[in-house]
This record gives sequence, C-alpha cells and structure tokens, in this order.
Amino acid sequence: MEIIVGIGEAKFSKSGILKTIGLGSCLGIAIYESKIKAGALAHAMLPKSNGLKTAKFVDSAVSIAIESLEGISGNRKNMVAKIAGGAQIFKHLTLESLKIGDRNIEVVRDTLREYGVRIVSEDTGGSLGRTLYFFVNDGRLLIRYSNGGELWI
Amino acid sequence: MVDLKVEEIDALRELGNIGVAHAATSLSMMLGKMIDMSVPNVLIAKISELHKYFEDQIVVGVVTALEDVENGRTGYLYVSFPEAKKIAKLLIEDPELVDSTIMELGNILSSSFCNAIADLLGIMLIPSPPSLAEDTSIAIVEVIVAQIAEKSDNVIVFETELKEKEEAIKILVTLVPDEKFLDYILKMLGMLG
Repeated sequence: MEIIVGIGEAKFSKSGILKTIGLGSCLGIAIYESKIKAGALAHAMLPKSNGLKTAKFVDSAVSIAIESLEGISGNRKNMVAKIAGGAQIFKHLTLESLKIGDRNIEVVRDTLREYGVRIVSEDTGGSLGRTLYFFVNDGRLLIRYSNGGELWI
Repeated sequence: MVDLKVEEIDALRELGNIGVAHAATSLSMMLGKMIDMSVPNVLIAKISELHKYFEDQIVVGVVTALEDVENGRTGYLYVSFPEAKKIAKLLIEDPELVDSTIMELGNILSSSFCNAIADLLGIMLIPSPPSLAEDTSIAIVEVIVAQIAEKSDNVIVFETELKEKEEAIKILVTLVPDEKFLDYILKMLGMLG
C-alpha cells in the first residue's frame, strides 16, 4: 500500500509505504518510531513558518510529523529522523531566489535538535530530483533519483 | 481552494490562446513553416495535488520570473517540454541541439504569455532572463512553487498543444503567481465573466 504525500504535506502511517515524488529543492523529512513501528513523512518547501502550522514549512513539518506519531502513542525517545532533498535543479541559474535548499537543511537540524530527535542518515544536495519511499514498518528509506539511480538510507 | 466558474475558465483559456497565438506566429516566421498552437485545457491546481498533473518523467523546463514592479506582484512562468527531443527534431530537424532549441522556444512562449497576461490585466510585466532545468517535471515545478508557497496555494496550468502538419506535441505552460498576483487575475476574470 502506497500513500502519496503531496508537496507541502505531512502524513503518518503504521503500515505500507509513504511516498513523495518530485523532491527538488525542498526537503523530505522521515520520522520513524521504532517501538510502535510507525513513521511519518513530510515534504516541506520553506524554512521557517510565518505563524501558520502547515507542513509547507520545515519547522512546522517536523512538529506535525512528531506530534502525529505521538498521537498514536509514539514517544520522541524512540524516534529517529532521516532527511533527503535540497537539490540544485537549475543549471543556468539566473533567479537568485531559487536557492533555499541550504536554509531548509539548517532549520531541520535545529528543529529536530529541539525535539531531541536524532538524524540517523541523510542524503542532501546534488543536482537531481528525488522520489522517496518510506517503509514505515522498519524505517527504511529508499531514494530514487530522476536519472534512475537508487539509494537506501 | 479556488473554484472557478465556467466563464472564468473560458477567460483563462482565451488568455492562453492569445499567449500561444503570438508564439505560433513568431515560430512560423522564424522557421518558415506553419506552426499551430492551441490551449485545449486550463486548470487551477493546488500545490499539494501537483503530483496529479506533473508526471514523474524527465522534461526540459524553462522558467522566467515575471515582475509587476508597479504593484509589487510577482509570479513565474514555467514552460515544460516532455518531448524535448521530438520538438527539436520537428522544429529544426536536428535532435542534437535540444537545449538551445528548447531555450529559444521557451523564451518565445514565455514572452508571448507574459505579454498576453500583461494586456489582459492592463499592467506592465517585466520578464527575467530564462533559466533552464532538466529533471522530472514535478521536481522542477516544486522548486518554483516553493518561491510563492509562503502565502499562495495555487498554480494555473495551461495544457498546450503544438502542431506542425500531422504531428502534435504536448507542452505545459504553468503560471505560478504569488498571492496578490493570483487575486488580481481572478478579480479581472470575474469582471470579464
């Protein structure tokens, strides 16, 4: 069973695969709770929330993902995080504002630290778009690059 | 969620058709053969549902920023070519020159769309030089959408068709407006409808 996580969304599940496609400059944040064997996946676009709590923003996305797992009796102590994304898709870059990837990564580190959730693996940067498959039962994260390459983290 | 009336969708499609008509004329003149373009379909898509409209397949995309300096509104035009090689072959009979052909075609399409939008809204829109990217269509649109996502939730997709003789090629022209820009477009459409 695959559940699609759209751009700017966060979803959690106790079974199956959470999938997000078309991760470009944005950041995929996967949180795994090893005791209840459940996971949450967010596809966040921008670093800091303007007050609205939506998964569009990295800081809110982390809160939403962690709290959704707590809502099904998860505990932060059993949670770990994996992150992927932040690619530089544009070769001929003339739009200065298209560089937000680095800031997103900075914010995800800070926010996860505040929650006491450790990043156990990551795959960020590069120039290729990514599709993520998060197997929520065991926390494995498969990254498929737009050129067909694959990486498990 | 923005729900449009039939008349508003018609007005948007008309805007798209004006945009591609200018582009088709310039292309026909440039290439010395008849190029026909039309916009059979227009839709407003929510960011969280973009994966339904933009496929997980590799495209070449050209992006231009549009700036309405006078009113502080901005937006982006994203022209994506799922069949870039086929287009290069069809237009200039040389599939090797894909990037430069697509860049030029993207340039022509975005400037005529830019003009069509500016005319409809009665504003002055300044386009930036284009940026080129090659990746999955959804990853490219995601990068652009992130620029306006702070306050905006919608993009406008013009499903465009380019025809030369019997060959038809699909091109997507996507307008990614910031909140103020989208509001203004919808307001103007309401007045037309």
